[in-house]
Amino acid sequence: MAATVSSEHFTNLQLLLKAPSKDAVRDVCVQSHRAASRRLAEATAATLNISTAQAAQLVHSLHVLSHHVVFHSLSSPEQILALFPASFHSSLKNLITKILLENSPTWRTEAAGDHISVPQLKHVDWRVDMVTGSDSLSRMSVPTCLVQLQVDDPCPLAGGESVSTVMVELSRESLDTILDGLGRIRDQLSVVAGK
Amino acid sequence: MQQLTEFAGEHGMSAGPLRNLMKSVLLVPQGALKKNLSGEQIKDDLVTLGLNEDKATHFSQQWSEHYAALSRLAVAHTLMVNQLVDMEWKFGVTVGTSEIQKTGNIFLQLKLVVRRGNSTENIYMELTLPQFYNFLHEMERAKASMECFS
Repeated sequence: MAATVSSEHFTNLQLLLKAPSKDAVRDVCVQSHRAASRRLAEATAATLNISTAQAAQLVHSLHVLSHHVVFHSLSSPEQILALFPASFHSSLKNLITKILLENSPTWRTEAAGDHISVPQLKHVDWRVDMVTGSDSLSRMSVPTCLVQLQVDDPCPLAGGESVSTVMVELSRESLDTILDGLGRIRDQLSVVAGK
Repeated sequence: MQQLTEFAGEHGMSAGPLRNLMKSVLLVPQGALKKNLSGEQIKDDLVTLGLNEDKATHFSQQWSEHYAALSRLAVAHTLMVNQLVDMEWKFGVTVGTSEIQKTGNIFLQLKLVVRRGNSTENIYMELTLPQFYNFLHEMERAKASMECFS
């Protein structure tokens, strides 16, 4: 969630001045974007030589700042620099801005792929079989298509499976109808894309 | 069933015994269909079973005429596992999420209605644009593969 970046957050960010190297700052920024975990707070406390409580607040502030940047799609250095208060240490400000700009395209793509939704299709496999006999006709030659859809549920029900596989059998008519429908979707999509 | 009852009424017989009779009679064409018998073969079978020559000839003529339609019906009755009954779709644009305020990703949602035994099951899924084109491509390849066989 994108909370607003308050001055308290920037005060916490000044703790980064204690970092031993630029890479350490980069590590903390990147890892705190994902989630503010206790383990990260402890690791940060060790690296920066500060208390765990202060480290936890720092990680949280970084998290809020990086999510703010992604939410508002801030893409130029000026936009990000404008967030910082005037009294903020200037080279730290530039470093943090650089790190945020480097990572925000990746974060944005991740966020776009990770949103709430109905189960997402992950993989499609198909096979065409020739039915040569059945209960009602002992000799026949009718092609049939089996499609296996691998579906990934990002929010499975408690105790439910995340990845489920669905097997569907299609007759030739069904496959034609599906292709009709998909063709219409494609036409409508190209109309939308053309606008 | 209704036709049988009407027939019974017209000819002054009761429907119950007629129904049982018809069930036994239908075994002959069903067996013939299963074994893909030709008109000639079915005529011979009927004569062996005791039907007189004219009626057997008439039946075998009708059989030859309607054989194609009967086969098609038999194929339709063939077992299908998880048969796809219906597909519904909608697509739209994601305008924003809690993580990104302004976005413009196109999504497509499909609902597949699949027959499982006697009831149907709905399967919902969402596809991104590249996944949709991939799915379309795969289905076209499947269709091309099927066409090879006809």
